[in-house]
Amino acid sequence: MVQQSQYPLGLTGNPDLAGFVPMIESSAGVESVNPITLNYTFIRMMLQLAIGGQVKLANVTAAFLSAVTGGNNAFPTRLVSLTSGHFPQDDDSSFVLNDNRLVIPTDKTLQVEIGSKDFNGTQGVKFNATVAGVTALNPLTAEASLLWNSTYLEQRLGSQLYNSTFGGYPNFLIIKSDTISDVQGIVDHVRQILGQNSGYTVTYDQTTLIALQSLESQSEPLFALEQYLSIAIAATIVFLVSYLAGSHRKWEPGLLLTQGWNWNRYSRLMLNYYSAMAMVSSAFGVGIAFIIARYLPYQYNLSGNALKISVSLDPILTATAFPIGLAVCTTASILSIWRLKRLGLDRILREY
Amino acid sequence: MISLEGVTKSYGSLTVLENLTLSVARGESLCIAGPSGCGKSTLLKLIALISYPDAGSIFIDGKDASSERSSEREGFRNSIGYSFQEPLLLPYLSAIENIVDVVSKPTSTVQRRKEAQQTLSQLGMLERAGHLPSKLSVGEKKRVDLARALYRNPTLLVADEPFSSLDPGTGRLVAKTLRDYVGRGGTLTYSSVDPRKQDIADRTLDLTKHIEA
Repeated sequence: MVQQSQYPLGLTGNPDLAGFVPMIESSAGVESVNPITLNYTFIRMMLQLAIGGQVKLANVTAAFLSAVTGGNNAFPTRLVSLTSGHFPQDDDSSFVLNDNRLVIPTDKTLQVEIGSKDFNGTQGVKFNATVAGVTALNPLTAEASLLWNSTYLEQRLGSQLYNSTFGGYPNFLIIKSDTISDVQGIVDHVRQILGQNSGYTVTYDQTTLIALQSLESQSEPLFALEQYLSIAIAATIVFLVSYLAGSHRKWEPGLLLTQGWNWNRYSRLMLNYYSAMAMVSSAFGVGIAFIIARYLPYQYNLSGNALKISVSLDPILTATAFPIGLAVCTTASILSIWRLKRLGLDRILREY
Repeated sequence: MISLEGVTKSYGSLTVLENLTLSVARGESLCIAGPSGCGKSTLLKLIALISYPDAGSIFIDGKDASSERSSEREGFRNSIGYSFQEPLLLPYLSAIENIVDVVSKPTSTVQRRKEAQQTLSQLGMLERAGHLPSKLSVGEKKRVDLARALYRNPTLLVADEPFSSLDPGTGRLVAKTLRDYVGRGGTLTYSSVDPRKQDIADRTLDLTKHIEA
């Protein structure tokens, strides 16, 4: 992440980060760059405070860094992961808390002001608002503590004030790396790009990075399983179905052979039968793999939050479940026929 | 048609048949008689090329059919109709389907169905043609099993206890069907523990004594 070393007060004199975006985007290991415009939202709320050994109710005004979702330089909606409530609709006078460490009551009407350097400023617009929802704690994006609906805010502030606060140049970048191991290199490179005197600093959460690296090593078998989940399940089902089918009513081929069938004809019948079973079993296997991948996510504890990782099935590997299933079934049918031939007609019929 | 020369068959240490020689000419019928366990079924399985002799040879139309080369045996077996002692029917097919769908015959489905109905009719089973085996009595299953063997119009019919589990009336119907088959030039080998059913055959082989009557 790239952020200003000092919180911006309205439009700051800091350089526009937009110019750095193409250079950072072309850096090795960078997957994407999200430029965001952060600004202040003042909130006046009644809080219980301990003053001189006594608990008193007091009006407190606090300033929170805010961003909008939807529109230019907005906070990416894919990073919004609500744990409660909802995201405000267009005419909804509310915002989302992007940091569940904050203690802003969700059921209270709050006085907010946006667009001035302090509460009761002359340039800002005051209105009442509530907390609509709370997102999961994400230390990497917690700088934007409050998230507003851009359409609502533009209506409320008016186009001019809205553009001068949230529609201005980006003053915060969220950089996504290709892999966890790329992070350190990107941080060094972006520091070089920004130089010493840009007024911006590059930050990343080293604890989280270490935790993620640990997660990566722990989840390696999971992702290996992900690669082959559908194939493994399909092959297992196909094998079990083939095994059960092969060991069921062994006398049937014996009957057919006594009624004028030859081994070639019986083998063709078995290959067709097992192929059909392979297709059906593979489809079941893929279905089960899909259910496991979709509904049984892997959970990892990250910074006190349960991070759920759902595995996604690789379509190409999933598709290979079918030819593999077919191969398993063909092998099973060939083995079954070979075993029956070895037994001989007399012994096969004795199974009856 | 078929001849066995010095045939011996054992199951483990138990020798069931020893140095047996017999022959059945085309259009002839032979009844294998003897008490239970004397080797009647074993002999019929050898004749039907279902099992191999441990020693000796089996000839069909002068050709050695005791070779283990399966393709040759399959060719010989194609001309043999076999009816099991315990009727062997696929449980998920009806009586007529157990004939039409199981027996290999290069004719149209309509034609095969018609022929199967005729065969079932000869054995008094036409009305039960659409029934699953689970809905049939043992005697009825035996008749479906025999009908299937006859349906192939084989040159050699091998029937293991075709009269068991049958009431006297049905037994007479089966006997007539078998006589008709031989009358049409078919070769019949069957087994029976019932002396009254042995006179259908031109000859009887008492397996206990290896004596032909």
